[in-house]
Amino acid sequence: MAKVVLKNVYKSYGEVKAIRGVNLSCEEGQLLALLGPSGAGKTTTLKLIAGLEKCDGGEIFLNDRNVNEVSPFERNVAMTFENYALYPHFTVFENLAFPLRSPRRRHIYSEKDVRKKVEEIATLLGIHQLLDRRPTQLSGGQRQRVSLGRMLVTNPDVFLMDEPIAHLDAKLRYFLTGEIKKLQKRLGVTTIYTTHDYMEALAIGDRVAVINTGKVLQVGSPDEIFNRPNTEFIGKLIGDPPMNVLECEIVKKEKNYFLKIGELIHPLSARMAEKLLQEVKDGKSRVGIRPTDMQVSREKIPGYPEMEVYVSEPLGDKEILTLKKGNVSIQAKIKAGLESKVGEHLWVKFDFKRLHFFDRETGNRIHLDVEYLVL
Amino acid sequence: MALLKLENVWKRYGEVEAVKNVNLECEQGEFLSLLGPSGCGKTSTLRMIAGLEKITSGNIYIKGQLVNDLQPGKRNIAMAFENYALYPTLVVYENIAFPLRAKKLSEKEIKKRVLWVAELLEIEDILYSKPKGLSGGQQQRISLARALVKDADIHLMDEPISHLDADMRRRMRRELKRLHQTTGMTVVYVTHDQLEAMSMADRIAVMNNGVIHQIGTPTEIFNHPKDEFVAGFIGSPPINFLESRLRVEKGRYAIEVEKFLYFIPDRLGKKVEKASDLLGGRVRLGVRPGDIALSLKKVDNALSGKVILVEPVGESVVYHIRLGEKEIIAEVSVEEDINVSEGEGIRIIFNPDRLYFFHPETGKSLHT
Amino acid sequence: MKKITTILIYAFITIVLFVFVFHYIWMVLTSFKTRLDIFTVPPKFIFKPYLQNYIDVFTRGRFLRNFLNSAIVVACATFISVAVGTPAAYSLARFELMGKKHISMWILSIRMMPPIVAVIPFFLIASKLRILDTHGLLMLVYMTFNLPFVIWILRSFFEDVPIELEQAAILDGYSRWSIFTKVALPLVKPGLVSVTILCIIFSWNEFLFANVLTKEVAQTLPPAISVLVTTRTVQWGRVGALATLVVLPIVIFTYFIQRHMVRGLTLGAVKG
Repeated sequence: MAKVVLKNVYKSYGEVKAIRGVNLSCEEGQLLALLGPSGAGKTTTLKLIAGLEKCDGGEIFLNDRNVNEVSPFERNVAMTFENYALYPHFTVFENLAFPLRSPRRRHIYSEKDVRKKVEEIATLLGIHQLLDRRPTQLSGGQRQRVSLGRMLVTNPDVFLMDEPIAHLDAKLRYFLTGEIKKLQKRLGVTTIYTTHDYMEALAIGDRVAVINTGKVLQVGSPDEIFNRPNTEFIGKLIGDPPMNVLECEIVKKEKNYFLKIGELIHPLSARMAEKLLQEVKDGKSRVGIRPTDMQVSREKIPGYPEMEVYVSEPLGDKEILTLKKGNVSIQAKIKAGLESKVGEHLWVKFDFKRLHFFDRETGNRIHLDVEYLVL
Repeated sequence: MALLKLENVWKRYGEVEAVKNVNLECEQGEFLSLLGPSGCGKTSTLRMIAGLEKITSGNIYIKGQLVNDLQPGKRNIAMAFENYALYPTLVVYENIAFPLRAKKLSEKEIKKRVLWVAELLEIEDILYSKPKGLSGGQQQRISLARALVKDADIHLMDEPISHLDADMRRRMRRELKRLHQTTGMTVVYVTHDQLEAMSMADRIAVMNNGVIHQIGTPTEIFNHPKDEFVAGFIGSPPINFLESRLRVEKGRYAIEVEKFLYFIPDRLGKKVEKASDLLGGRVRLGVRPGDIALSLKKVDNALSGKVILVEPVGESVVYHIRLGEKEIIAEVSVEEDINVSEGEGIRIIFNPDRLYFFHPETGKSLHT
Repeated sequence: MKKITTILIYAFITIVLFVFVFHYIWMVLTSFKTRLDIFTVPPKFIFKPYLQNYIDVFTRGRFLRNFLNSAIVVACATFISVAVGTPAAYSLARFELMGKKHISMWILSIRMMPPIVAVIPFFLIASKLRILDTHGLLMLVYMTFNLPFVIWILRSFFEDVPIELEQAAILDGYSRWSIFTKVALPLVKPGLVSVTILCIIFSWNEFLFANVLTKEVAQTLPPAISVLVTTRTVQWGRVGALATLVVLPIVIFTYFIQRHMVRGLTLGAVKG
């Protein structure tokens, strides 16, 4: 088992700067989820750790040993690829045996050992009955298991998994994230797992690192990433529908503070407003509101704004509303049952405690520590 | 009479029966979605409506007129294709204008409509590029634009937003639904994504293996699935199925699940009892993850299980729980979360109003 | 109405097909005709087959010698082209080479050059080196034209092999060479088959170079046909018979090997 550390790592492909100063660490036995949109540099990061690519600058440590100049094989890491990378001309058995039969391992494993080991892994993953098939004869889920099997078979120190379940249908994904996490827990192998799907990252990661344009934006527990996003980008990356992020301004009328979002005027607690004004002198910032962090009602909520239903989408037990007022458009996710109509007017009340504020220029979070404020 | 009517429609490709005896009606102004996994016959059905595939037997009526032998061009329909089907030699503007030119509209009118649809689908900035260099998502929006720009009786759409990224897909879902509701156009929409069907359609026809399993509003389909397939296909995380046995214990109805006894409402019990008489009480229970509550305290009428995995997914927490020999999934919203950790024992309570019972062999619902 | 359309379509297809294969039919028919029948107007399509042309081909002239020459030259030229071209294509597809673009372009440009341009230089060089009318010379010439073709086609086949397949093997400790032989090569098999067939067909049918650069010792089949066309007479019957015998091996060969030409072995191996 090993600790993985990346120190100020850089990587360019010609003109394209893929990785720009990445610092990351993954503790022994931990599962670190790398979350980011496509092209963020997730796969490159994995390939750098695996040694399939050389870094232009910075250092990579496995178990406190600098591995910059160590060959991929000697790093003793195993990787699964987004497209599974199974050999189509081999059977499942041969695919699983391939790593053991490599010139570097042939002297360790006799053919008998290979058979034993492959069968053991196949049984573990429930693909025992598929050993004689070829990858083309397998379903997506089965291929994914074979690719996991090929990673497990050599007892590596580190697992690197590149979008392992991105191409499976939604139903299967629920079971497979669970399965991968259970397997990883049981084996206790340090794992770095990439995904572009926030749900997957939060569900599977002990810790989550959000990465974009080759830089790590935030590392934290799933809870931190969801509740205290460091930047506007992270706020919008997470959630379905994503966080509403809007230009806003703090205004004071008589003694009360209001949050002015375009034509939308919403009351704000004095303590919060004052705190925010300390941070942003002109009172202008961007506010982030998660679609679930608001109350929507057909009955009038006195003092709170009224919005028009632009469209409403039922999702079984939930309902997504797109609400408009002037140029302001926000999305709300509520329990099913309101059954609103297009053009109808509804009252909206945000959950104060769960508002996020971001700097207008940098997009960085403005820390208010509102969790500790009594409202 | 419905605007579109399919009557006992079959489609065979050699030995393969792609569509089996489909009956379907779509009213003027309705948004009807054909939902099912790949290979379920939904695209064949759509292509038969368009006239791109011959029907093997049965009848299709549009506006009361039998169209079995009517050429696609004469059916006054518009279609958006999953694989875009754009004209590579024409710029985007001309691609979209193509169906309008066929109708000999004035240049001014064409321009107005192309610009309108381009703005709606956020492709104004690429109007003068050729399709070749554009991304899949952009090409798909052009294909959709070409279908929307035409004034057709029926708009047919085959997975029109499947190649867009998640964010754009959400936006397009919203805009399409809004467009449908404000213009009153008639849409038949093919998709494999239950979210798309649920969020946009007035009615959904759930298909599998060439057969329509259920037709109904999204709420009906979600709350009253007619069989196991529909229940399993709709909803995320997917519904849990548990083999169980209906019993009468101390004068009350109960089900035996994984060696636990769980009392259910009498009204439901009676219905299920009637239907399950012949099965010796054997029934398959379906519970959606959202209809399961968890408790650390001892409660009456609860099953006990062990938490094996906790997945916090933001606004809710997904628990994988071992229940006897089975593993079930429960989803609890963050506000109601009780912070259980892995390995802990837990009480499981089903929402009694939202239990589904299915025939263990045929999969048919026993109470709808 | 429908029936008439179908009939018309089939009639049209028949005509087109006839136009395309007519000269082959004519060739085969001619080979079985007597001198008299050949010049009969209107041409006879039903007649008593006459085998003397074939007998002549085998007895008078050097058919076997020419056939053997063709076989040797084609087999060697094709084998060497594919054996050398495959690793070359692989390196162009996979390695970062200095001036990779220029090398690729240069290779392609050889193929773009019309063969006639090269005939005179080749003839002059060969005559100075005193290697005119040898098998080696002809092989060399065919390789000049086959190699760029092999490299160009196989390169795109190799590029289609997902790089991850090879990277997985790197992690497992395989060397470049074993990755090439064990992973990449089996996956481009359809490409290998295709280029081999096309190389064989090209070399087998090649006339221009064979005619100019060989005379007796290394003369292949196509120029041997032209020998029968002299200033005094043209022995049409024997031309037909010989031409039929030249075409026959290729037809048989292609028939048996075409099922291997299917592409898409890698399809389905990747993604769901």
